[in-house]
Amino acid sequence: MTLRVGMGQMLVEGGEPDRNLGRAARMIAEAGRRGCALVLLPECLDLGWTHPSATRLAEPIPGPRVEVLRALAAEHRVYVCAGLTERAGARIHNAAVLLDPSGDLLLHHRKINVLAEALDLYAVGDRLGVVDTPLGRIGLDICSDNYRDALEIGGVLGRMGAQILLSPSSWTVDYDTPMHRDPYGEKWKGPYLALARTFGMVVLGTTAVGYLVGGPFEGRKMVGASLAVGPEGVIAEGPRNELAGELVVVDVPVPVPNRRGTEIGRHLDGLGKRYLT
Amino acid sequence: MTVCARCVVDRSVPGARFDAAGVCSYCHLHDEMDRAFPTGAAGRARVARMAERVRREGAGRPFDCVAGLSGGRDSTYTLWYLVRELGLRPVAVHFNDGFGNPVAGENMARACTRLGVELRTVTSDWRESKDLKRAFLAASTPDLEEGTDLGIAAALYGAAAGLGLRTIVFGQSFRTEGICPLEWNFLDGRYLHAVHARFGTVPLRPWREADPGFNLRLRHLAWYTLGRRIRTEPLLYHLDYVRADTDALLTRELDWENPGAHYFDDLYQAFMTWVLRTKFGCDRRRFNYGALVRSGQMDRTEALDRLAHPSVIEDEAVITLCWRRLGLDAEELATLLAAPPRTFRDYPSSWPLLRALQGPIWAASRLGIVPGSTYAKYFRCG
Repeated sequence: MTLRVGMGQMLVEGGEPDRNLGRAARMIAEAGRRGCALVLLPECLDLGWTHPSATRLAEPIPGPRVEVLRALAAEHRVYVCAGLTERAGARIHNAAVLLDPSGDLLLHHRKINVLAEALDLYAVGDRLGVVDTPLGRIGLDICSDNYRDALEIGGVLGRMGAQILLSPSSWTVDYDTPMHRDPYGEKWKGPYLALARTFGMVVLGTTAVGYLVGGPFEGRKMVGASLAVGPEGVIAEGPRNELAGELVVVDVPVPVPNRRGTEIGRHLDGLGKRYLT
Repeated sequence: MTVCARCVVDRSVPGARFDAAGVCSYCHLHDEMDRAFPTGAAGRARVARMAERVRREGAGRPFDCVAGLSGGRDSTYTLWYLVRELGLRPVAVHFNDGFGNPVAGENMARACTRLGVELRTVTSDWRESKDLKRAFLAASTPDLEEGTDLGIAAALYGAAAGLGLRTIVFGQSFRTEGICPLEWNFLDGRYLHAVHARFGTVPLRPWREADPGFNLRLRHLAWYTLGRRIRTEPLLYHLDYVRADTDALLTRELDWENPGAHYFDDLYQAFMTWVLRTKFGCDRRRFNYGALVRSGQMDRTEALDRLAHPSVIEDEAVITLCWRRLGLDAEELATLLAAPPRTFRDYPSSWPLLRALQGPIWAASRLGIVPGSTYAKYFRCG
């Protein structure tokens, strides 16, 4: 089975939820027009990753911003996966949702591997889940949940049988990183490949473009180069750009997991590895 | 208030003087520059010679020249002309200070893709560019974009030096944009550092030839122009450039979208236009529209009608975005705006030295080492 995915590598402006949701709406509409079954948007697309406005402007999930995304999913008949800043009582979470083409909320994840510098802003997440859909079994995590030293998070989703791992992201680099060179090296490709090969899944990460204009990482920038990786290697990479968003449409073969339960551990033990790389 | 009988410049524009017929000094300057930089066949011949020189300079290199790009109409047309009409291989250089209009960003991406041009974005350190904007608000002068204006110029010189290129082409024209009076926009590295030393809080990184940051003092300019022999070419000075016709061409050829107003490739211009009007009594459309009226590209009555109302660029939501992005709250903003207006003359600057160098700067402008408008701006407009 092949899945057409729109990786909505959109511009995110810190503290500007209306402008950002407007851009998300245009990405979802374009994904619908171009025949995508699913559109994957970046992490914290409403307020920007680690932007201090989170303390004032975060909203509950479900809540008004999810309602906007629900309506867009239903209007354009696509699955929508998006990163949002969630207010949960006194806590704020770096969260993500998966909505189906009826607008139903299928998955709600809260980032677990929160960066140390952001722990004053975001609480650590408390859940992991997968959901069966006509597209396949989908798992959801966020950005640094896929760090090489946190692969157990994606690993749990792999063990739960996720065929498609969606990861809204905000990958950042120093302000003076030139765009004519590979900005990330193996930072993301390495762990994505490890998960994809070990569990027989596709891993999709859509990052934002733009400048971080507040918070502990103020001055870093997001430069795109979103990533789709399968067991055979890199399927697609978004363009490098720090100024303008772009919907990257990718046809992704959805693999069938060939090991379950302790079969996975036995296989890896036989190879002397924790993950295939 | 006296308004020029020919254009729309009035006495609010610093340096404006009126002759017996009621025509302003900006009109006379325009006519002088019009004769010095002819269009038509003479202009095309001048551009052809420039293109030949640039092509020779680029032989054996990946690029022929640097083209400044903002995503607005003038710079996008300039890039299009370099590639499609002159067959040159420019590298497009954009300076990102964190306030770019997303529409302009998309324009740049599309234009460069369609023209097959490499876009190199020189990204400022946001902490520095934010600190400079806050410092100039505190300095209470109209030069609210001093950091960005200087950063753009420095980025273009730095890119040219880093790539070993000797020509920077940019899309400014006195016929369509006019020349901003000195008191409203004084571009000077010494002035920037003097204001930053007094009001800034974040250290500015030092000058490096290919990465100058916010450093472009006279000695750096001398290094780039005399040491590296880098020239600037205001291409539109020599072309029959009609703004109203350009939109259709750019839309057809490059899927270009109008950002909404002149200067609105930069969101901070919304805030700046509002502050200039309400605090300093400056309306930069006076010299913009004045130039278009003189060039026959805008009807004088229409220009006066437009000037009777605030610019469309003064979008309240964008204005709020700007001061919030600087980390200000409403009370801090009100305090900054309530400070008495000042000008660059209230701070240390290169102005005394520039006045002493008036003769050599005139010669440099005639030789094309610095733009023709530079001499006019420093010694005829304010």
